[in-house]
Amino acid sequence: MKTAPRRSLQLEPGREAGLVRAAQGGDQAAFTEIVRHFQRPIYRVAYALTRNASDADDLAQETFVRAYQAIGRFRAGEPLYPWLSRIAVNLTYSLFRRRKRRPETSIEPLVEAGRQWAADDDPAGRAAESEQHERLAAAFAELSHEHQAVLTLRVVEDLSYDDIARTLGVPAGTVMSRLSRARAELRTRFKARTGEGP
Amino acid sequence: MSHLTDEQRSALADGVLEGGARAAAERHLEACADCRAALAGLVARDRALASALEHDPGEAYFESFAGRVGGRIRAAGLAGAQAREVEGRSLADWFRVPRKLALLGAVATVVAGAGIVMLATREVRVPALREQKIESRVAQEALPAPSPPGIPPESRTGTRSAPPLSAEPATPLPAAGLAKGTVRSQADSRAKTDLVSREPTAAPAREQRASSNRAVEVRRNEAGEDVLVGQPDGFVYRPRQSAPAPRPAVPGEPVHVQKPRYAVPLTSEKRADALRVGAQPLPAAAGASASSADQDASVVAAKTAREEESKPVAAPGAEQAGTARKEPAAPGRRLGLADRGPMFQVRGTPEAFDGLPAQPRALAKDAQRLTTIAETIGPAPAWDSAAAAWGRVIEGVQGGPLESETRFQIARARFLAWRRSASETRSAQAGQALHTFLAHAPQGAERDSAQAWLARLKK
Repeated sequence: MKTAPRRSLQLEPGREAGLVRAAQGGDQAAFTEIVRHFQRPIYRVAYALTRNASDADDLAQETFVRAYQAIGRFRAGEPLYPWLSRIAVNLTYSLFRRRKRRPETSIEPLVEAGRQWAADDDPAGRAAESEQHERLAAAFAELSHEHQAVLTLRVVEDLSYDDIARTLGVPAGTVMSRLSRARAELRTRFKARTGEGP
Repeated sequence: MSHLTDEQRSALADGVLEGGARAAAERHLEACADCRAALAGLVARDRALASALEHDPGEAYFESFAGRVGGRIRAAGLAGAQAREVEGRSLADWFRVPRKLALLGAVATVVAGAGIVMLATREVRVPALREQKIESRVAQEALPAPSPPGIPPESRTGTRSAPPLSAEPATPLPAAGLAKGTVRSQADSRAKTDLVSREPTAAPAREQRASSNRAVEVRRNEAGEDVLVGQPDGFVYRPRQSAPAPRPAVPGEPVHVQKPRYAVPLTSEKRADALRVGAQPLPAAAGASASSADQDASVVAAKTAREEESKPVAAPGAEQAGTARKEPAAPGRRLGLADRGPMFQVRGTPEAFDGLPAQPRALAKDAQRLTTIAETIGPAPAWDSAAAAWGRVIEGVQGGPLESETRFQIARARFLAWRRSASETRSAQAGQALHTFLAHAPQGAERDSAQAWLARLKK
């Protein structure tokens, strides 16, 4: 399965702080540059947590709107992505609370898998992989929001423990333990769905 | 042999185990196939999860993403961090935030309530209005209250207010009098001017007397007499220990007579004594003539007073305008209208009207009676009746020596009726009567008075 090429989550040293200061001074172009740099990772986080393209789009845009409103209070020099991803995670939590339910499993991965399946030379193998992904996504959806967030930031966004701790506002040791429990929980739920071993 | 924990496997997979812990974990993995399988499964699930949770909406989506974010920011009305800070301090921001709007409403309610309370509890200075009204009434009463010889003004006007300053020198007004006098209203000043104009021959060196200019409360009893009820607050009452001793009148010098401050009812038995001039020292009463007992009894019923003041009157021999006859007053002679100065003076004495035929004589006596009543009770309708009665007399005296006197009485009654209660009708009647009198009036105090009244009427 092809994935979109990941871009660096960190701008050049000093460049990020300069953009932040310019945006704080009302420079619209600087803020647009920040949006263009972080739009993909923020969208990934939003999609990973919601598994819905529409929700992910709305959450990603709203994340940057909130960032625009609050950028005057952001301390220039701090890493910007953890701050943005934290906004996205909190918005997702708020969305979950409003809906009072777990996010539904989107059919878009299936659509995407079908598109790839049609272009693949091994349809049987692609079907088995897609089915595994579906079960894994379903098991992931059964996790708590905290476990989903920590797994998303670590597995999908490949953030360090320190950045995850900064994003979630918890100590790094908590990230380690929470990530361990989230993986164990995912394994258990995935095994329950497939009947496979560890 | 203990296996690796989930946390160790998770940390090992993430590469966060360091030092001895990492070395120990790697040694365990070399010897433990289960832990190697578990770690491999963990890494595989992570990769599979990353693939399962990833979604690429396409480059076109991200090309327009920044524009859509900008559109949402503009739709929200946000203009930037700096502008928002300034905007937050603007007055309009108070009306956009519900909490601030509620605070504004509460403040407005408190201010409005305080304003209502202040308006409701504000005190109106009533005394100023009251004093103004009193001044107006005093000025009104001052006009028909000159200083006639013999009869105090209170006895004629029912004593509704204390008189103003006594008559002052004719011309020029002494500076001392102005400095000494109290502050008076313009109407009061006009009244004094009128007094002067009606007494051109009064003695120049009259004594200045202070008066309170305060109204006194009277109540009408069953007999129709005005009885003093009490003294208003602030009324300065300085009773004299004794009246000044009368001294024989010297021709050319003013004579002081007793003037009561206000009227008190008299019993019928004492009324006759009070009417007797001889009961009080009255050396001279210029122009005085006898009048009917009924007339004078009602006029002088208020003769007795607790406080009396000296009132200068012209001595025998002095020129007293408007007086038909000048003769020494005889003891026991009753006070008549002629003793009251030009305003209240009937030049035509009863004896003069006695020379008329029976019908005009009866009409004249009736007119004199009505005039006396009007002077006693003072309302405008009484003066209207008196004027009408004198109008009936004019037919019998037309072309004779009493015509001018009768027309003066008509004009005077009409003017006083207008003064008591002004109306367009009374104004027209008074103006016509004054013009008629002035058309043929000889020079003298009556003419001067009529001219002054006409001038006041025109104002």
